[in-house]
Amino acid sequence: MRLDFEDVTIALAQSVRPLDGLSLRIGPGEQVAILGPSGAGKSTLLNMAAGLCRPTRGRFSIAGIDGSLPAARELRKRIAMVHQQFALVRRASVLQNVMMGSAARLAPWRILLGVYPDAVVAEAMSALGAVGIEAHRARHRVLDLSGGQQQRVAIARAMMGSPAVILVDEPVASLDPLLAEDMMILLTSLSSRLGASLVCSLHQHDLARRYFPRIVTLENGRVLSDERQTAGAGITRPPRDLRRLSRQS
Amino acid sequence: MRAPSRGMVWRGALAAALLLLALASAHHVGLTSLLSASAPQTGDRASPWVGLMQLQLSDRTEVSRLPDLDIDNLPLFSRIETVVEAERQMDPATGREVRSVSTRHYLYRPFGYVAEVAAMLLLSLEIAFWGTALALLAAIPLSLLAASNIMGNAPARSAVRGLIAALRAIPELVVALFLVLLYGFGALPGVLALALHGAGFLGKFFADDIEDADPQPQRAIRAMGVSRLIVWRLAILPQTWPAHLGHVLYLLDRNLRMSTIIGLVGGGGIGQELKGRFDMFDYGHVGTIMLAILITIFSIEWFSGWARKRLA
Repeated sequence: MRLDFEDVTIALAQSVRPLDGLSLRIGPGEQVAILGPSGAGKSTLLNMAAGLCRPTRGRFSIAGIDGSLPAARELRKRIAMVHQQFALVRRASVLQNVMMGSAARLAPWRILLGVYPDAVVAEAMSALGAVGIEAHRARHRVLDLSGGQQQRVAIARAMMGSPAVILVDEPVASLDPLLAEDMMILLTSLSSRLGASLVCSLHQHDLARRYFPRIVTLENGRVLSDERQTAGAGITRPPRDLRRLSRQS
Repeated sequence: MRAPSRGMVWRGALAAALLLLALASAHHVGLTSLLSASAPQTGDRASPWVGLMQLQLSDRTEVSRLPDLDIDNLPLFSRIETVVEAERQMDPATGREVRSVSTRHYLYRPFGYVAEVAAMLLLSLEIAFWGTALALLAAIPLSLLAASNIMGNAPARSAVRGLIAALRAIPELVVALFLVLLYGFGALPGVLALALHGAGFLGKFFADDIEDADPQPQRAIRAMGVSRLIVWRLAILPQTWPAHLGHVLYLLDRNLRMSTIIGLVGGGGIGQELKGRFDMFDYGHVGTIMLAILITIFSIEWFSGWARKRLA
């Protein structure tokens, strides 16, 4: 699913502009890292793609359909986001949180009564498996998990219903370097496996260089640079022993 | 010594005026009469405080008023008491005094009155339970319509908030007075009075819980393109239900106490019996009723504490 930002501006009070004339096109299946200093507009860009905010001027469209039109509603259900603070329901169980990812596809009465079809439960369990959360943790409450595990649960929630676009806001902000490597491997491999495009905001240049074929740098709400690295040449995986170490931690 | 500043004089005068006002008010409500030596008026009857101590446990019913009584199979612990009473009557024909002996049989049950009180307490508990259950049922939709993060329409939200405030503002006892007029004496007006007031109480506190819930998961779920009702169910309810439960348990606790009172105005249950016995100066009976209420409240207190610890 293609995402188009055409000269998008968000104007808030006192001439604060989180986005200021930003134009960007993200093609289907593309893996893009969004870099830039704090306040450059990275999170706002992702939030707009997730439907949490609208452009004041300019146009944001999903697969060619204007994001503000009712027709975009169905398309939006195929865009999943992993929020920076994970935005999980901490008192609910891990499994319930993951199943919430399928809320838009289920009949309202099922959700109100908490009766999920077996297929959804199975999908949630396999999503948990894919992000490396053991099955016995599924019944634990999210608040009993570590920060890194909570993030994996948030990713599993985003995977539900095999989305066409996965938006990830600062996935490694609170992780140590080894876990950060793990997280990058997980995200890029999951998006490749699902055939979904991955848009990921980052602070670390080196991680972006090693894992993403395309790096977009923002500054003051607009695109400063848009680099494509030739596949294979630019992308290097971390050394083997580093990956093994991080698994153990 | 420094002369007092103008500010200090004003403050002193204000304090003196407030003190005088407080004293006048104390006299107005009769607090000053406590200072005088005279004891409260008790009349020639035994002081009710003494009467309360003489707990009434048993009861006695004349056998002739129990047509279904099977003499060979008396209820547990009970016995038949025979009372022979000498009566002096005046023969209307002769104008002389005539002595006659009448024999009366009573069924004496040593804990008969306790059983009666228990049955009426059970009715009070049922009133409290149904009052709370109906309040909960009404409060869920009310609180959703009153919470700003679910109900976007501000005028409608204010209207619902107003309704909730009105429900909460009218005391149960006053509501019960009117409902007794509508439905007559009995448990039903009691249940409805507790339910109406409780719906206002729970509606307000549920709505506040919902508004205080962590907004992040709400945003995340909302972005999936689902309705606000679903957002509530998935992202808010799991956060708020322990607080909701606390409020429901508090309301149940409160309703259990209120349900004993609401009988005073005809709302059924133990209160009605309490009022009747009090008006007949049966202080022994009143003592038993009050002790029974006390035990019940303590048990509820213990139970709700236990439940809160287990569930929250």
